[in-house]
Parts: sequence; structure tokens; C-alpha cells
Amino acid sequence: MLEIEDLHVGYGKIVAVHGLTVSVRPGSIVAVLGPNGAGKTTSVRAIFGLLPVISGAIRFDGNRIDGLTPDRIIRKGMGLVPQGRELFAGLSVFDNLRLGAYTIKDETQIRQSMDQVYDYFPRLKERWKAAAGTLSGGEQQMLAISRALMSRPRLLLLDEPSLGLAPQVIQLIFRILADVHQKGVSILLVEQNAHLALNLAGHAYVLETGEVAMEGTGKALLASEDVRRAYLGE
Amino acid sequence: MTTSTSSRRLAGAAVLAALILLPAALASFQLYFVTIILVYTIVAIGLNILMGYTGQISVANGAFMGLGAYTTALLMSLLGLNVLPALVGAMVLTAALGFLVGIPALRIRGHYLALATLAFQLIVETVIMNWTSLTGGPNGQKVPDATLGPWTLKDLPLYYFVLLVALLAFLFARNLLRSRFGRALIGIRDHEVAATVMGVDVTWHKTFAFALSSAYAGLAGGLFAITVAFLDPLAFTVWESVKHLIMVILGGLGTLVGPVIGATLIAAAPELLRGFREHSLLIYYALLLMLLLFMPGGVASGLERLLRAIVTRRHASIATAPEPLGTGSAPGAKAVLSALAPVARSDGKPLLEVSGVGVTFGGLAALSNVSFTVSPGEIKGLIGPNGAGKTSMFNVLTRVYQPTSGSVVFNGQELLQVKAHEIVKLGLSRTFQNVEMFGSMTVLENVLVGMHHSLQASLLSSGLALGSQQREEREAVEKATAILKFLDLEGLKDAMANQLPLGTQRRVELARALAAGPTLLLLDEPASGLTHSEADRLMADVRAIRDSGITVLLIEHDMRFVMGLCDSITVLDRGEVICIGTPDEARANPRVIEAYLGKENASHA
Repeated sequence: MLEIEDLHVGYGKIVAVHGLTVSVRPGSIVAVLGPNGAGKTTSVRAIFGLLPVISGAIRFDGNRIDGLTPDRIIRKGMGLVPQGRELFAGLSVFDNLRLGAYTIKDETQIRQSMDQVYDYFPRLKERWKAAAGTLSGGEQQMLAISRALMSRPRLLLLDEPSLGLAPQVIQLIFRILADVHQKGVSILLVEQNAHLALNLAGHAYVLETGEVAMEGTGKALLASEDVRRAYLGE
Repeated sequence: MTTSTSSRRLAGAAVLAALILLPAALASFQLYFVTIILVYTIVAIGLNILMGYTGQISVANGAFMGLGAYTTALLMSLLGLNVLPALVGAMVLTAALGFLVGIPALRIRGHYLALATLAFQLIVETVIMNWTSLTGGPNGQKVPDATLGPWTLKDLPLYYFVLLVALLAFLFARNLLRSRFGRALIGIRDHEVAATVMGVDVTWHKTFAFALSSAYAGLAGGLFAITVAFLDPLAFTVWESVKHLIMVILGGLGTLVGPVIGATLIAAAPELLRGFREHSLLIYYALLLMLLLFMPGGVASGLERLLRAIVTRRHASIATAPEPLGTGSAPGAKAVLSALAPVARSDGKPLLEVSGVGVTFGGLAALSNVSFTVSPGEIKGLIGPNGAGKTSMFNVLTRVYQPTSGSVVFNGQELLQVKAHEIVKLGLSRTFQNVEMFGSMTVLENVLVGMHHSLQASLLSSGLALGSQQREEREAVEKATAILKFLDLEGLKDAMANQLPLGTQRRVELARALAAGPTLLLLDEPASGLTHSEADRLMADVRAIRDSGITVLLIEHDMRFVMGLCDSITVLDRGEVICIGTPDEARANPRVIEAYLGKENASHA
């Protein structure tokens, strides 16, 4: 579904990602782990068209998408939950969701998506009038995920959804991600919480200094000595 | 770094040499014209301090230039003052007016500040035009001949005089912007709250920047008056202010040479394009549009990018976080840290005593009746669900929020009577949940801002780069480097803060907070976004920090981190304390499990 081949991305003269090859099969959950500075966020931003690609190819459903603008990529069926959430702080929960559905014309579809995300996160329904900036960190993350789902993506990219969240909220978010996956959305998950990510993901990659250092099934990596030491603290 | 500094010096020397030799090649009307350009560079350098470095807008700069011009002319003609005292008088008056206007105006922001300065501009225009007995009104004002020693300031002597003043103005601004004042101004531009918490008096610095840029405009106005010899009131209208804005923006906001380039281009263009006659204005504005389109960020940074692209073609790898070491404490770290910190109390009383603190926002209680203490030398955890009020508590402690009730006693002093920027002096510094770096500064400069409150250098010694200031600055850089070494960040000290990965920025933020020399260090989710091994390293660092005598209060959701590190824990939920105790007591507390940990975590945490 998503094929990334020998991807190079950088900022100015600094190349942060050199030679990343990752693939996400339809219907799967793929996790990407790695220390700070490994190039995880840079890769996500490049996949979504937010950073220019130096070289390499990104294919979505077999078609090249590198060089496309984010709005085109959204229309092709990809959604992004960015690091730090990036909500429209002054707009209400409802308006944030409406903006998430910006590319959708059909009002019935929008209503369906809205019902769906309210079903995932009833808390958002209770607070639909509140400005996004006044929500707690957990509610904001719920809204960020919901906003991305409003464009009815077939592939959802999440950049560190557990960042700064209380343990209980993290559990909730990961439960919902499993539900979202059940409903047919593929997921590419960048996450520091290796334990949760590897338990959820069918397949995972470990990035180090801009390259894939290890890959395998979530279970295999969970069992790997190196991963346990570096990412699970055991 | 050194090569680019020396090549920059070389370029500067070449430009200066060319300017010194230039008159030999020019006719007198051309020399006049270059003199005017030099005057404008002074204007632009001054405005850049306000707009480029402090991030405040002013459309009254033309008025200040006019005030300087008329003051100089009138001091010379009415009081018979010599040119130097007249220029100083013009600078003092414009600085004072800038200060007075700045105090109320800089409390407002953005469009409103633009409008407020516009109003001042229009008032000055009206006064100049209508106070006929003093200014000559629409008839203009003749400027007496200026003499300096044996020279009459005209043509060649005037050119060299203006060149000298412009050079001094440039050097003063450069020195100042590289000192603690410059860092404070950039800090305000990048992040006001973070700058305040590091001890920068935001209002004072903004007002100061406004006064200084006004004084530069006043000085330039005076030189302008002497150069043109006759003042036309229509020379200082709002269009003049707009011209100044264009110079600074086109040249490159927040760069040292940008305003010089911008002033040169804008002042020279009409003259150079004169050959195109009626099309000249059209071409002028078309060129302007092209430059703004193709060199966003200004000519200075555009040229710099171009040069860099030519010079360095090779790819460098992005800086990464430190290797996990496990031990954490570099040799001498303890000495470095304890040398910075003020002495904490050792009389057995708590270091921090929060009692009955409440905070409400529009009827919504973020905190209600929160009480807890922090003992000297402990690592204390503040935990609770998102929205429980933990960060609000930090904001109360650092005076970002004003509580509606309660009291906070730190080291024997009531904190709620202290101003936000003075908190750090008492020995309280913090990091932020969302990492608030000064993005456009280097790592080292970020850490130096942490020392702002402990540096003594005055404005004047900074601007003149006096020996005492240079010595203090060198010592500060040494201390900052030692702190960076302790956190394994030394190799990154010249990296731009905003180009670092989030986890590394968190470490830089920690370095900045340590540089402030805290007795009590507040860490807001320090382990968020770190891998296990990075978090392990941080735990070792925090222990080393505590062992050096610094008390730590931290907010964190990573339970392994909290349980492994903290001596005691306070748990907040919906703005109230629901549990105080040891990590084990908190973990076993049913209310904490219910509200925060969840059953899964309680069982295996």
C-alpha cells in the first residue's frame, strides 16, 4: 500500500534520513521505533509531502506521491496525526473536525465520520463546543486523531501519539487505534513507547541515524535482545 | 565557523577600504548621494534592533528621524550649539520620546502596536507642519553650516564624518546584539514566556529596544539635516517610515549586515534607475517585488545561502542525541553545578511550601486548595491525569499565572509578591512541557540566556565591548560549555536549536535551566519522547544534579521514570491533591489507580 524506497530527506545541507526503505501492506499496522534524531519525524513529514525529498521514491497504491502537496496526498487516502498534535487551538472541537473533512464533499459521509469519531471518543462529543486549546492533553490527542480520521483515510500516519499523555489515556488511545485498524484502516505508527507499539504492530522497523537498523514482526522485535535493552529497558 | 568569521571580517575590511577610497572616484554630487546612503544605513541598523531582533513593529521611525533632524537644526541655529552636542541632543530627545512612547505602546502587540506607532507618526508630522514659529512649517527650515574643528562639514569632510559615525553605529549595534542584551532581545522575539522565566524583564527590554532604535533614527536625522542643509517637512511623513521598513525587511530582518544592504539598495535604486525616466519607478518596484519573492528572509540571508551552497556541497549528518552512558555524571559536573547554585536552606524546614493555592480561569478551577511541600535535596514527582493542573502549578510557581488564593513560600520568601522575571534570581528555574527553545539561537546562546540574570555587564560596556564585559562573557561561555559537557551536548553548541530533534532540544532546555543556577529545578515532562535508554541516561543525570545540591520537582507520565527516581510523590486530579506519599504508596493508592494509572499499569508498573 505504501512503499518507501531508498528515501533521503534533509534540512538544507543536513541529511537526516539516508536510504530508508519501509513498506506498509494493506490492512497492517507498522511501527517505527528509534532514538531521538533517528529521522522518524523527518520521514513522516516527507511521506506526507511536508518536506521535500532529496532522492528515493514514495509510492502509495503503486503510484509515486513524492513531490505531491499534502492536500493531494490526503485526497489519495492518507491521514496524518502530527507530532505535538497541531490543532487549531482557537477553533471548537466541532470546527476542528469539520476542517479535518475539508476534502470530503458528501455531507452524509461527513456526518457518518463525525458519528464514528464521537463513538470512539465520547468525551469529544461532550466537549464539542469547547475551543481545542482549552482541552487537556489527552483530549487534544483524541481530537488530533479524530480530525485525521475525518478525511476517511485508508492509511493513517501517527507521529508519537503517546507523547505527554497520562498512562490511562495512552491505554485508551491504543485501544481505539486497534478499533480503527479493525474497521479497515492501515496504520503507520511512529512511537517511543516501544512496549505498546510492538504489541500493537504486526511489523516494525527500528531506525538509527537515518537508516533501518532492524526490522521484523512486532513479536520478534519484542523478543530481540537488542530491542529489549535499548527500548524496553530490560 | 572560524573561517566564515575571518572571511566575513575580510569582506568588511574590503568594503570599508572601498568606502574610504571611494571619494577619489566620485564627483561631488555623487559623493553627496553616497553620504545620504550612509545616513540611511544608520536608520536601518537602528530599526533592525527593534524589528529584526526584538520582533516589534514600528511605523514611526520616519517621525523619529524627523525629530532628530529638526532638533539638530534648531539646537544649532537657536542655541548656537556645535554639531556634536547638537547630535547628542537629538539622540537624547529621540531616545527619551521613544522610551515614553514605548512604555504604553509595547504592552500591545502586532497590528495594534503598528497602529499606535502610526498615530505617533501622524502627531509628529502635524506638529512639525503646524508649529510654524519653531519649525518653519511648510516653508521648511534652514540648517546652519556645521563645523568640526578646522573643517566645515560639507562634501569630503562631511562624507568621512558620516562614514565614521555609521561605522561606530554599526559596531555598537553589533557588540550589543552579541551580548546578554542581544540574547535577551532575541529571546523575547522567539519566546516571551521562556525569556521571562530566564530572568529577562520583557517590558523593560522592549522599551529599551524602542528607545535605542529611536536614538539611531534621531542620530541619522541629525546627519541628514547637516547633509541636505535644508529641511522639508514632507521628508518625514509616514512614507518615510514605510521606506525604512522596506530597507530592513528587504535587507534581512535580524541579520547584522541586512539593514546595511537594504538601506543601500533602497536609497541607491531611484538614483541608479534615473536613466529609465518615467519607467524608473515601475522598474524600481518590479525589482523590489522580485527580490522579496526570490529572497524571502532578505538579501543578506539569501546571499548567505548562496555562498554556503557554493562553498559546502558535502552532506553533514544530523546531530543525534547523546549515546546512552548509564552513568551520566561527567567528571567535575558536581563542581560545575554546585558552583552555580545559590545555597539552599539547611534548617530542616521545607524548601518550597505551597499552601491552599487555587487558580481559576473564567469560573473554571484549574487548581483548588493545593498544598504540598518540597524538602531540600529531594527529587519530588508531581503526577496526575492530563488536565489535572500540574503544569498550571508550575506556572504558579514561576509567576506565569496569578493564583486566586493561597501562598507559596520558597526558601523563606513569599513568591507571590515577586515579579515573574525575578523568580529565577531567587533560585527557581524550569523547563517547559512543549519545549520552548529560542529557536533562532545556537545551543550555546540558549544556555547563555539562562545566565542572563547573573551577568552584570551594563548596556554601555556591552555596546563598546569593554574588557570587563568581554571577560564576563568569556567566563559565562566557559560555564555554559561545562554544563553542555555534563549533558554530553558540547559537540552541538554551535547547532541552531530549532534544527535539533525534540529529545535533544529537551536536553538543551535542561542545560539552559541549569545555567540559571537553580536551588530548585522544575522539570515539566523531561522524559517525554525519550526512548528507554535515553530516559535511563536522563535519570542518571537528574540524580547527579540532585547530588550536586539542587532540589528537583518534576512532572512526568513515564511511570518507570517517576517510580525509579522520585523520593516522594504528590498526585493531582482535577486540580486537587489526591495523594501524597512515597512512590510505593502512590502506586498502591486506589484513588490514584482509578484516576490515573489504570489497572494495567498498577499491576506491572
